[in-house]
Amino acid sequence: MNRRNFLKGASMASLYAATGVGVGSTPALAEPQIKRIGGPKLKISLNAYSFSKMLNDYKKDPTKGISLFDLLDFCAKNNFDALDATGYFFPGYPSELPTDAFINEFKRRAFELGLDISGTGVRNNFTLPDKDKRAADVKHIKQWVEVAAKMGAPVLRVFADTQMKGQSWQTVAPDFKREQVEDWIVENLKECADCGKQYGVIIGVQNHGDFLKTAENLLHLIGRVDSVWCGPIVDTGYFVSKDPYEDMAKVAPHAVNWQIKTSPFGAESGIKTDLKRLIGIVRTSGYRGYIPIETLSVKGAPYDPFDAVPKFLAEIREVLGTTT
Amino acid sequence: MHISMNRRKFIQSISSVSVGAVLGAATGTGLALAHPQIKRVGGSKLKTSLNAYSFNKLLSDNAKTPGSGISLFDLLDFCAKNDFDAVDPTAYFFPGYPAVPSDAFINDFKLRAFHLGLDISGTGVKNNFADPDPKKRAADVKLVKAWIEVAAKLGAPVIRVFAGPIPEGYEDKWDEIAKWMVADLKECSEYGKAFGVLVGVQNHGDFLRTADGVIKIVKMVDSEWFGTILDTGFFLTPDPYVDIAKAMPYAVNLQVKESPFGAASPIRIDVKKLIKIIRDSGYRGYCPIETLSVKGQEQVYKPYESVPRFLAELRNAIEQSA
Repeated sequence: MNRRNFLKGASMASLYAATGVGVGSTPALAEPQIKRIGGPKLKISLNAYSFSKMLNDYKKDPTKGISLFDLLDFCAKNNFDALDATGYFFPGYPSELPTDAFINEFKRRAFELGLDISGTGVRNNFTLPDKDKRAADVKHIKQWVEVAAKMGAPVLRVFADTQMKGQSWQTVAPDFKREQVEDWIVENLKECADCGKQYGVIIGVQNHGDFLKTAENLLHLIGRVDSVWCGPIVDTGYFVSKDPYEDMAKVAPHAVNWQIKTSPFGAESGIKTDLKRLIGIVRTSGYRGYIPIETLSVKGAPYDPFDAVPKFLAEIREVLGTTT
Repeated sequence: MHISMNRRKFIQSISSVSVGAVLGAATGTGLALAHPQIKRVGGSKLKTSLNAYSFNKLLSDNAKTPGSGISLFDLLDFCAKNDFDAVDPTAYFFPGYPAVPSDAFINDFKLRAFHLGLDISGTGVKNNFADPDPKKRAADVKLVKAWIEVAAKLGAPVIRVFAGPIPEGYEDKWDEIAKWMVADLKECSEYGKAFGVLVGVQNHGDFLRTADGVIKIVKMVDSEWFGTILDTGFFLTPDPYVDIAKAMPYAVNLQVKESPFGAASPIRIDVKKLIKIIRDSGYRGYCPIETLSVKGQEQVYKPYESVPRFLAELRNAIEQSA
């Protein structure tokens, strides 16, 4: 039954991919929509990155900041359904993988607190012309697929955008066309998705405002990867387009996870996310799963996640409770 | 660095164990070691789940004859339509049980559950650690270990095991049985620790029929990777609610039944009272429900009706007490 659905999905994707060839950069094409039933169901998760500074402080000096275990307590006290535990904050990242003992303690503590682990994520850079560097990042992702499986994290977030400060995909690959760069990313993501399939972990690709500026960018890429083990993570704060809500709505039916930000135009923007509109979009798509929230610090402005997260969470809860 | 912090926490919990042990000795439970009760923060948080066993016949039919009954994937659809938070897919219903399913099957199941917004709250196997035959018990330890690996792959945080029925001739030898059973459970828990899967023993009206019995075994196994799956319908005591309250601090998962006195009893569980007991313990986790057919009345059992009805009762009690 399921296999039938998969086959259907696969053939749809191939069809898209086939028709995608030849239309150049005009995307038009997408991976098959996920067939969900039962209407929307939203669970709230916290992106660990909201506590980025404190978690990094602790990583450097355990007398400072907060640990991932402290963050679990915070999530329980604030009644989150889950935590999205970014790879960066695990001991030894990125050069070392966490030990099984650490992973299991973390998993058990989360379970005891009634928290699921909604996902994890790593840093990678698939826009570099250097094949070896990209291969090293594929290896990194594959290792973290195994970590994600051990943690019980259903999704591993990766990037298609350049992750180098002050750079864009055009500046790191100045002699290459978009089509060529996309070919690299597709090839790399296919390898990651195959590994994800083997371990039961979905590779989620997040729009991050660089190579992936629009819904079309994101869906075109995902459609070409053409695997049920690779799907888009909708970052509500990182579409670079006239109306980011339109982009969110286009990607929503394909989403394997979300990252809900306080502004649709980036952390520095004063314009707040229209949560009613956003939740309406998520629900209309029939999405059933986690909506992790992420608050961010802005250069030069005071930021206290112990304050910012509960405030944003309350706003989301208010909208979830007053709309259907 | 993280490890040192973690170690600090461990030491904290170890010292609380010692305190518990001292208290335990003083209150005369007669046990030197006390398993730490789980320290939770944030108050209680209850999530709903469905025990696949509620669809025992239909799932077994499908396992025997594909096309008949319902598949585990159909069950996921049912859970989504009824808005469960999770599903507890018992191992029996996986193709080829007791052999382990293929990774491809496990991953497809996990993927579909994820797409439907469902977590996998646990799984469970059939075993008998009360059996005096060490070879039979060793075979069951092997089975549990194999399924601990499946549970880890599924993302199931906990695996349910049984104690087993008291063997003939051992009616007055609880402690003797406990001794070998605990050795088996310890071995399973060590394996669970390695794979990040908790092992939970269920009170099943068998060797384990009282809270005291359950707590004694949990303390003897004495592992953070071991606890009890509290079956609200299988304490064979005058007032099961008392036993439920007593055993709750050791619970790593629940099985919520329609009657506290077994499937055949017409006395329905007082869901409000039960939820209050669960909440008072500070439990944060799943409340899987299980409806059962009564022997001899299998024809009148309709899980498509009994499950949503019982779920509505439970949900109502959870919401009203939130």
